[in-house]
Amino acid sequence: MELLGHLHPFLVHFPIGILVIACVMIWIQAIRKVDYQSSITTLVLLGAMAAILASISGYILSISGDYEASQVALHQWWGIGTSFGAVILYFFQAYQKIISLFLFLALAITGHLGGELTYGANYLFERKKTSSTTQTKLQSLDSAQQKITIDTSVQVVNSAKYFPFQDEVLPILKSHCFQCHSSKKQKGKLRLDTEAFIKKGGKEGKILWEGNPLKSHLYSYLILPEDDDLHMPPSGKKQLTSRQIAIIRRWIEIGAPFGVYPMHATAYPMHASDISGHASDLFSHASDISGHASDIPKTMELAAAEPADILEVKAHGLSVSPAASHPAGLSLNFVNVKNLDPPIWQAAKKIQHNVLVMKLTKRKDIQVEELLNFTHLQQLNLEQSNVQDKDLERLVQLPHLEQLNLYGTAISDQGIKALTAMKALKVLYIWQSKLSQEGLVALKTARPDLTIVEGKISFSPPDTNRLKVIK
Amino acid sequence: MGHRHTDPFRLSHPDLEKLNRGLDRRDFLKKTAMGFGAIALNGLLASNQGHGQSIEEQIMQALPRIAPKAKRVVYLFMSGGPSQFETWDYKPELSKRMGQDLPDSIRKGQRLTGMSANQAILPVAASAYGFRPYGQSQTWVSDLLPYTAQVVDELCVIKSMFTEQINHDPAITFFQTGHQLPGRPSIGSWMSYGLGSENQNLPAFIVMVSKDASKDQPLYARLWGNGFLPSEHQGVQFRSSKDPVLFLSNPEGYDGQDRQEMLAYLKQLNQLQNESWGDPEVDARIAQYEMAFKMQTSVPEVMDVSDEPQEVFDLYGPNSRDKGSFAANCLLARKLLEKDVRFVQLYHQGWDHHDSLPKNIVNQCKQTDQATAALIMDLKRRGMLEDTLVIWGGEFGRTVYSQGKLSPTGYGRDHHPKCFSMWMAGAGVKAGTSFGQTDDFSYNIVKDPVHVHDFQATLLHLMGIDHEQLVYKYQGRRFRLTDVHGKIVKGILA
Repeated sequence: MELLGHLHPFLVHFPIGILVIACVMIWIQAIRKVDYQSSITTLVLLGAMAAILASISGYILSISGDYEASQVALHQWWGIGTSFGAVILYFFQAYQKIISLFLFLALAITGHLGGELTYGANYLFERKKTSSTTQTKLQSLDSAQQKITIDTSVQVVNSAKYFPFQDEVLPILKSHCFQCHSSKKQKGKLRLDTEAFIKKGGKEGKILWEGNPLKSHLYSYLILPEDDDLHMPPSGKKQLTSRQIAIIRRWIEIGAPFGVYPMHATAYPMHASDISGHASDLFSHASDISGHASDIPKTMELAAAEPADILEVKAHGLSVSPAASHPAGLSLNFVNVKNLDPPIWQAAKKIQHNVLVMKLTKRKDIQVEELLNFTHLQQLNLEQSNVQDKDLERLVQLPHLEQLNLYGTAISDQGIKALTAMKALKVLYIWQSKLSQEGLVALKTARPDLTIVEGKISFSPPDTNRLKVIK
Repeated sequence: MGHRHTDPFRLSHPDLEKLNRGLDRRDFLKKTAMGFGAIALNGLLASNQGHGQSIEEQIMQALPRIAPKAKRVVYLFMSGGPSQFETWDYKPELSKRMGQDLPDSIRKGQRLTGMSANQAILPVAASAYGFRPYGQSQTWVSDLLPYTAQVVDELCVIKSMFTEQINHDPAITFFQTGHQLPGRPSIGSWMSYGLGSENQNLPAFIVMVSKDASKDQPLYARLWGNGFLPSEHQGVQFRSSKDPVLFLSNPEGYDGQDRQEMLAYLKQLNQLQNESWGDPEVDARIAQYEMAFKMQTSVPEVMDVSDEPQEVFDLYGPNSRDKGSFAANCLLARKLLEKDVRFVQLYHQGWDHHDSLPKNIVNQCKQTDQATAALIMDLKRRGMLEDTLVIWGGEFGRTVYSQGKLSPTGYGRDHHPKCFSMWMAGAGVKAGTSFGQTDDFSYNIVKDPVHVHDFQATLLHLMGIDHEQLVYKYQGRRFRLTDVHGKIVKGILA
């Protein structure tokens, strides 16, 4: 029985095809004065039988439950009407010209209603999005810039309030999933058109596990190979792009929020783990290494850096990477920078609050005033640079500085006072600086809590006797 | 994919159009393969330097964020399979059983290699060298490693490594690429692909092979190959001879200006080619030429050790002035790491001691011990050990029984995959600890086994990468360094 229902999309083609030919032949016969009547009678009989069969199979399909009854009703009655019309046409040949007109109309309407059920409402008149014209001028931008352009095509909503579901996820579901999983159809007993339905899941149970995309069928079925039976959307339907898949993944990862998502807590909207609120709990549950999220100190309230600013900093040749100590924290490395020109600092200042680590190894052109803008600095690598004792006095103003690398610099005993005053300082590298032994002792006395890496290495030479076989 | 459609040239001819469609499909697959990379919605770290960069960083952005403890890795690969008995796995009980046949209760029918399977007896051989506890951690270290012993409080010794491979080539390929058959990307290539290069003037993955080691087992360039990843991620081998990188310097009588112009034109040609064909390998080629040009200045600079003080050479040991020796390579490795090269891999061959092990292993240790310890301490005093991961280890271990005749001072050891020792030091690992335990024969693991895939997963984790997320789709399947395995070894994480 169920099979007959599933055959409906196949069977409907017969009444349409046969009856349309019959209608056309009726009119050719009338206009061209030729005798097709025996063929017409056969065709109309066949068509009427096919229409009845299609109606029966359609009814069986409709009671399977995948379709909303109210949507089906119209199509159903027009279908039955069409079958009825075909029977009338067979028995009332005298009026066949008039009847064939009505039948043709009924066929068209029934077919269209059926199409709407399968392909969605307004399918026929929906305007296809035209792809960008080929005559767009050849872009002379380098490929990297083009990539950036591509990136920004998914808009980041940079407001304090952010609705990732409404803004990013829902449009994808609407265009790719609603056709079969909404008020119109509920394939697999699943609807995706409201929060309640998404949370409820389908006939196999829950499809959404907040924070765990791989467990959530809502995501995992998307990434199955296209020829897999479970792959969604089914093979042949319009597929999701990798970006759309990624959006759904990220949305689940951040805890699948249906409402407002606080933007300030995370460096990357729809991306990083949230450090406050429930999303972070979910995230760490989902994570393979529970605990790694917790080793990030939550003490510092830190807003996310603007992606555009980070791009600009990178455009000046700086390496920007995530810092380990805070989710919104960044690490700046100047290894690729030739000269520390004002524009570079200008750019870096745009992300000044997010910079927790700064590496200025071997630079001889450091202006220490510039560093003071980066008030959240926790680690500062100034090894083999031009920093002087007097510069250290300025650096005292960095309240979070925990680690300072001054090896190979001209720092001398005069800098001890400043170093002592750096309250947050925990680790200090001073190998090959000008610090004297007395100065070192003084510093250790003043700051016994400080780990000072002096860099003295004294290997004791091996006892060559022990290198002989012992037996 | 957008910009390809905007290229009028590609759509102006029916043949090209056909080709175009094919390419778009491939391009699409490729982008899908880039994993969920596109989620770098904001292009947060999209680089404007060099080709392909932003895709890599997009991938990173798509990955769950793990705090990256390590920024750099130096992997000291002891090729040939160093014996755990004479280095890190102290088995004092063995001397009492010297010469006795290996009990079946230990061997449990384990299949042996053809080299020792036919021996009438499998005589237990105790280490010919003594062990002593060192450092605050009181870790037992062989007398053959007197220098490394002095830095043992920096190390996390894993005594419970095991692999599935029993012969050199599959075992080393398995370690380096996650699969025993050649063709997959090396760890360093995965890192380069996943994290990109911090220093734009040097490759992210650099390899050096000791020239002073005995070449008992061969190494192949594919061990640091990029496999199916774009070619710019392959390891670049630095050699000890006049040209550290082959064909890098200008031909004689050809000045730099000419070369620069030639490369600029070549790039234009490649870009034309790229626009009409869209083959990612053209991107790779452009990137490699750019890198090669930058390396014309950056490599000689970094390979020049003339400004290193005598104290440094003393630290790395007597061989450190001998270009191409393990000690000299360790010193260079430090210089490369100082330049923020992401992954430096050193190979030292000669650990395959099937016979005369007591005699041969002394030299092996001598060549490597001091420089290894020096590298750790040198990184430490520069403040680099905290974000550099140092790894020491081979492809498998060696048997407790002697291969061939056992005499008090002469014995050999066959390959043994079921347990062996490695160590890690620096970024993110518990310093001054040992992990895992083997039985009294160092034949089976009794506690905390660490599979090669587990090691790889942990390595990626320390670099801030979830090993399950760093995926590349190739020939219809998604590939990972850890295949479908790998568990992070939490016990060694600091």
